[in-house]
Amino acid sequence: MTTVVVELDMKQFCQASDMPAAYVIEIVEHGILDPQGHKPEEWLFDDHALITARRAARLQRELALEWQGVALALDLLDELDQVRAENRMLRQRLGRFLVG
Amino acid sequence: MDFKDYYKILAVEPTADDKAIKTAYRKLARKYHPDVSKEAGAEDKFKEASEAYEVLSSPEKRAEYDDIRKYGQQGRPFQPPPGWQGRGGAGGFGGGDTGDFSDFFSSIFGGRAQQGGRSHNPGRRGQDVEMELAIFLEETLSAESKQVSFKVPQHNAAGQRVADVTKTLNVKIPAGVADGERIRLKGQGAPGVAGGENGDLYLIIRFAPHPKFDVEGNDLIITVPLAPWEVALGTKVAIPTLTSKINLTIRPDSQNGQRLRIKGNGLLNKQGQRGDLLAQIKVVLPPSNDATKELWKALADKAAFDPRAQWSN
Repeated sequence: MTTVVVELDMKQFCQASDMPAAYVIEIVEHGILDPQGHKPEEWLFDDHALITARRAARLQRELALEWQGVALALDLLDELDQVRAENRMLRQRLGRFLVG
Repeated sequence: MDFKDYYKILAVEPTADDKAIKTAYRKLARKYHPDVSKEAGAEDKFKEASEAYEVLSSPEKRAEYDDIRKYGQQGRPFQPPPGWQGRGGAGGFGGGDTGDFSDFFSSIFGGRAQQGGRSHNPGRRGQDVEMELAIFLEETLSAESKQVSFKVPQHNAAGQRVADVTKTLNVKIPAGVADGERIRLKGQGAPGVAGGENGDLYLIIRFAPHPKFDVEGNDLIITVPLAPWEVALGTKVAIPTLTSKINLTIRPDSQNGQRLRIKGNGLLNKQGQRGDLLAQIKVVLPPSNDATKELWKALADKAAFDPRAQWSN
């Protein structure tokens, strides 16, 4: 069993994410995804983009958000994740200096 | 099957108008959306609210539900009234994926097979499965095989959800993985429905907290407890590393909180380089007795030291 690093072209990406091309183009235009390549035919996505696209689609559909709102929500959620991770790490480090 | 009080779920009165229902749903959806909330059980609460909204936001379904509600009561097993025929199904399920709605919902509005749920049509790709995998810092230095067990959602040929299956795999975790990194295992997610492709498995790497080391990027930090005189006079200390021990010289006149860098004893990165180990000094006072108290007093007289000198200006 080996792990894989994937690059998906537009067609593969649409298939894997179960999204129509127009939808994917819209997500890219809002800066939610940042594929390599200049034109949709040249775009290459990594597998993290797949997760982001799915999250974006879920938020858009289930919270009835505009794409701008989705983009903002995703940015803030990412930042929140980072801040939480940093906070967890700093707490752990601080714990070593506090007397039980 | 339990009766579901959709009004209670959305915390609205049975007489609430469409606007109040929409507002109540939106509030709950934002609060419990699984992509947003870290709260335990958030996903179930979100699904419940979505189901309630699916019914109460459609005048036809709401009328049907209000009829049924007269027969059902919270806390008592629900039986559809005799002769009840689920009328839903044919159309009217605009947009939403109703795949995960409850049996109660299906008993009134029909099974999913007729609903045309968005991602469960015949020939659909299986769902991806995501799970967190805790690994020890020591395990990141070389490629490790780990046994991973996870639950895979299953659907029958009609696209209905059936009991999850637990799968076990041996997964090779590459050397130099980072906390939060995702590893994709193609085709190891849920099986495709009616000939569709399998979904993928995503493993999200989480570093287990280490009793000695903290992680800062590629570097590791170890807190080194030292006696006041060791910090003042200098000493040599054997410092544990991830793999063995290393001798570290503490210079005279070191300070509490000071960091000493031990090159190349940190974590491995993807390029095969190792970060550093940072030894951070923590001064620890010994328990005192009469004899040591005398010595501290003598030191206080001799040192003439004001640690709070910077406060006085």
